[in-house]
Amino acid sequence: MELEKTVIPEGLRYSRGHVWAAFENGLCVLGWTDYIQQNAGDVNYVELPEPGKRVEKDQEFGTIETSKWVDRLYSPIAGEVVASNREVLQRPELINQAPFGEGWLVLLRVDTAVESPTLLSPDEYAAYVQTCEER
Amino acid sequence: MLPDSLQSWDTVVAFDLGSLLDAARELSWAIHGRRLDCFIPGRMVYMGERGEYPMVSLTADACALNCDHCSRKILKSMVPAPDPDALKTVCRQLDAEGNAGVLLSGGANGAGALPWEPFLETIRWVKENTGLKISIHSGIIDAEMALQLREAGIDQVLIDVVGSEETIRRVYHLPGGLTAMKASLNAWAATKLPLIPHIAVGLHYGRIQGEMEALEMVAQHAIASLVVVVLNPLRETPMADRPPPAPETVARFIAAARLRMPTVPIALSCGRPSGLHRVETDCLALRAGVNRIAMPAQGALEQAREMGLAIAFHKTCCSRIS
Repeated sequence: MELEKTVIPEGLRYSRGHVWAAFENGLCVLGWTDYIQQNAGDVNYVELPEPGKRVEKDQEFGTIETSKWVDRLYSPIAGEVVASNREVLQRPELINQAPFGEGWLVLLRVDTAVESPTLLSPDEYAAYVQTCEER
Repeated sequence: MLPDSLQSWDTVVAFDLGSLLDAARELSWAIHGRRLDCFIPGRMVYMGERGEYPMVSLTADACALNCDHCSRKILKSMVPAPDPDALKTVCRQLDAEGNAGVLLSGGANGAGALPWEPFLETIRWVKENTGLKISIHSGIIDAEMALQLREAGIDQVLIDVVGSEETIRRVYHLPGGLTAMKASLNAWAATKLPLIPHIAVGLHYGRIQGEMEALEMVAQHAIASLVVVVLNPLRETPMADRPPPAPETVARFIAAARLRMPTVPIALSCGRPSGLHRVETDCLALRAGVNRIAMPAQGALEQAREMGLAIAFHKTCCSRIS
């Protein structure tokens, strides 16, 4: 799905904090969405948790800085960190260049196979992005 | 023993860092009190909060200078309003959204000037019909235009000051050089508007060159505050691979500025490197007695609390307290 210039891939789930989530076999990959990376600008710095760390739903799992954005990253799901993307720590521009690919952030082993009902489908996220644009 | 003012960078670096910062901080606290004002400028986002002082470009992303530290990238992050009607529409909307003010900026022509003349009437309209404060990012200006902008109702003036002829020519590609820059400062000083010079540490491809001269240039005027910017090498610019100045270098400059201008509030700009550099710079700046920080690092906020500073946040440009 494309919303003007924003890419919203099918098959993923989205949080209102503009984090995408990809679920498979009890694991979940999280990343920053295309919409937010375009709005926040060049990512200069990202801080991610070490493997083994617990992450709670709606709690901070890292921080991210661009030239006009300094904020925490919030996980839309609870779980244990299996891996953090070491490459984006060295090359944060990957989050801009490939937000759904090489720019992924963390891999979690999720607590439950049931996806959080607060996560949005691509259509719902597209509608949410529209409201963000109108603000 | 520290002198009252430090005239050259060689003198500044000759002092023990701790002693220099201690002297500057004690002077700062004695005059300005133990407080730290923090800012979320523009429409920047900081810990879930958004700034309410958007930057508007009067030239969209056009700029004849194409400076080496920017290459028009900064313009692309601004709200475009390249003609008077667009400016009126943008300001009407920003006012309706509850913003506190706008920073009018934009690209320059080959002489370093912004196209103020066509926008004068609209600026007057904005002041008469909205609640927005208007800050302007001046560029090179002559005395007559400075007066016309004052009459149009602008509230304050931000101006970049560079003290090295070579830096002005190589980085800004500005033919008028120091003469034009000093004339612009004089023009604004004559208006008596609140004047907030910005000095970028490391603008000369990461090196110190002319910062102390810039400090001396601004110290000749009654300025409202001084904003210290730190070179943040941007991607896809000629400075992308240059290292920014070290946090210690920034702190030394802040200390020198404090000792040179004890009563002037000093702000650390939103324009500075991210990550660990930001943490270290902000913490050292606090030790140098900086009064204002835009988008402060969390570590610096913790340090400020440990220092017993009263902390306040403002959703505006660091040049103004809302």
